[in-house]
Amino acid sequence: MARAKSVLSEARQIEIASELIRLDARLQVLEAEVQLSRERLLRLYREIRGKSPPKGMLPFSTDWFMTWQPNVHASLFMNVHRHQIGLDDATAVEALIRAYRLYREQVGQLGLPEVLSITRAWRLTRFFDAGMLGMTACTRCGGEFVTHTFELAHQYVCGLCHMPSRAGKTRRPAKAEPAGAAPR
Amino acid sequence: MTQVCDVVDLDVSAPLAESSPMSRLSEEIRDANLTYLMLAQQMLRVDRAEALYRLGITSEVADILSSLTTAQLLKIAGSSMLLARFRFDDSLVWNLLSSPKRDDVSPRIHAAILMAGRTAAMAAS
Repeated sequence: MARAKSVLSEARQIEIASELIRLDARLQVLEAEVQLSRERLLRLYREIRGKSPPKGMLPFSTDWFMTWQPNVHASLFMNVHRHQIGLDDATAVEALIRAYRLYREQVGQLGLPEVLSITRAWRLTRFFDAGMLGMTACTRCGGEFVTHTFELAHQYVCGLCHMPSRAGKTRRPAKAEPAGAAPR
Repeated sequence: MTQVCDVVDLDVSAPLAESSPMSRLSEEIRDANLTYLMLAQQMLRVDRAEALYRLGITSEVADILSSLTTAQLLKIAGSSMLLARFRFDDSLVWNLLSSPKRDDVSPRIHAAILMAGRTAAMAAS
């Protein structure tokens, strides 16, 4: 990847990197999306977070996005992302940041936990770029949901039209607290 | 609302019959229009891309909106027709939004997905 040449564009890159770090992105996301050296990214990370970035591999499974709760969150994010990436002057990183902020805001208003981290969201856009995941329209509500690329479109029913019997039951203890704060 | 009303009165001719319910209504429509237009302009100034999503308007309309002067804004707002309308004009989204089960969030996140999807589809068309 070409390094940033002018001071101005480097300043822009630092701005984007800082925003991603503030959204709790892993270093791998920064390395892929920002044209700054690894050393500078590390220093920036420590300056903003006050600690070294976590090590280890990123979550890499497409199947995680197929489970009920993550699928709902991923679908909301991808619908927002599709709007943001379609705008004329949007770059991929900016669309990611904006879409993630909008997703987080909406989930927060509903009093739900942020199931999708920015790193997962980035991974999701990568899976879309690679053609491993796609959107399929639900045959009942018409909404677009994240599915494997070769989902059978003519019989697909989304997880919200056809709720599995134990859907969302695991988050009952986590939900007890924000439920009271939800009606704002 | 009342502060905005004072501003509008300067520009638009005073209603014929002060107390008639229709004139009061059209005054409120003017207020709503002006509030909407000013809010939209402000949102577009703060973050254009996010505003396009929240407002559900196209880039072209956004360009026109942000170029309007205050005088133009007042003139446009002074119509008896509401400028903003429901973006999601079908019963499915509204049934989900008005779901009676208040503590159950799944209809509301379902609605959020449908609304985001339609905003994206509208922008792409």
